[in-house]
Amino acid sequence: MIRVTKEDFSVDEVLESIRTGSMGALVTFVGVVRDSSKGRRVDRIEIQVYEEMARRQLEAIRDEAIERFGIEEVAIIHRHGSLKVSDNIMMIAVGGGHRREAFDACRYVLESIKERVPIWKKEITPEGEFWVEGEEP
Amino acid sequence: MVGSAGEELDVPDGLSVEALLEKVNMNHEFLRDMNRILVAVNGEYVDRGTVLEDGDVVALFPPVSGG
Repeated sequence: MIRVTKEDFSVDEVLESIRTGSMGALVTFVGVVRDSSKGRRVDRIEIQVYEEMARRQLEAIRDEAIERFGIEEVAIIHRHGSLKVSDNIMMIAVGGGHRREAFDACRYVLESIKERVPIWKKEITPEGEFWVEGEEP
Repeated sequence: MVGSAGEELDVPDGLSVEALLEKVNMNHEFLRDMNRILVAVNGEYVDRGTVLEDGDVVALFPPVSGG
C-alpha cells in the first residue's frame, strides 16, 4: 500500500494490509505533529506535496527496501494538507521474516523519504509561518 | 510554495538543465540558492547535465522535508 492522502489512517488497517504468515516481524513508524520546533511553539503544520512524483518515489523506495533488505512488504502512507498537533503525518509498516532486517528497512524507508520524496512542511507558529528545509535531527 | 505554480518557456533545442536554471534564475529571486535546488524532469530527478526535449515538464524545488 502506497498512499498520499489528506485523510487520516488507521494503524491497524495499514498493518493488516501487509501481514502474511511468513512474517515474524512487523515494524511500524508513525510520524506525528510535534508542538514545538527549534524553540518555537507550533500550532499546526501544512504539508504540500508534488503528488504524482511523490507516489512514484515512494514506490521506488519500497521496491529498493524489499530488494536491499530481503523483507517481504512495505506500506507507506503520507498525509498532506493542514494538520494539527498530535495528528498523524505518515506511517511506514515493514513486514519481514525477522526483526533485524525489518528494523533496518524501516529506517531506510524513512531516511529515503526525508531525503528525496517531494513533500514540504510549513510550521504555523505564533511568530509566523516557516517552511521546514531539509533534515531535522 | 515557491511563488510560481508554473510557467511556459520557449527555449532552444538541446538546452541543458544547467542552462535552463541560469535562464530561470534571472526571473525568480527564490532560486538564489541554486546549489540546493532539486530538479525533476517529467517527475524524475535529473542531474544538471541532462538535455531537455520538446514538451518536458521541469520542476524546480527546494530541499524536501517530508517524513
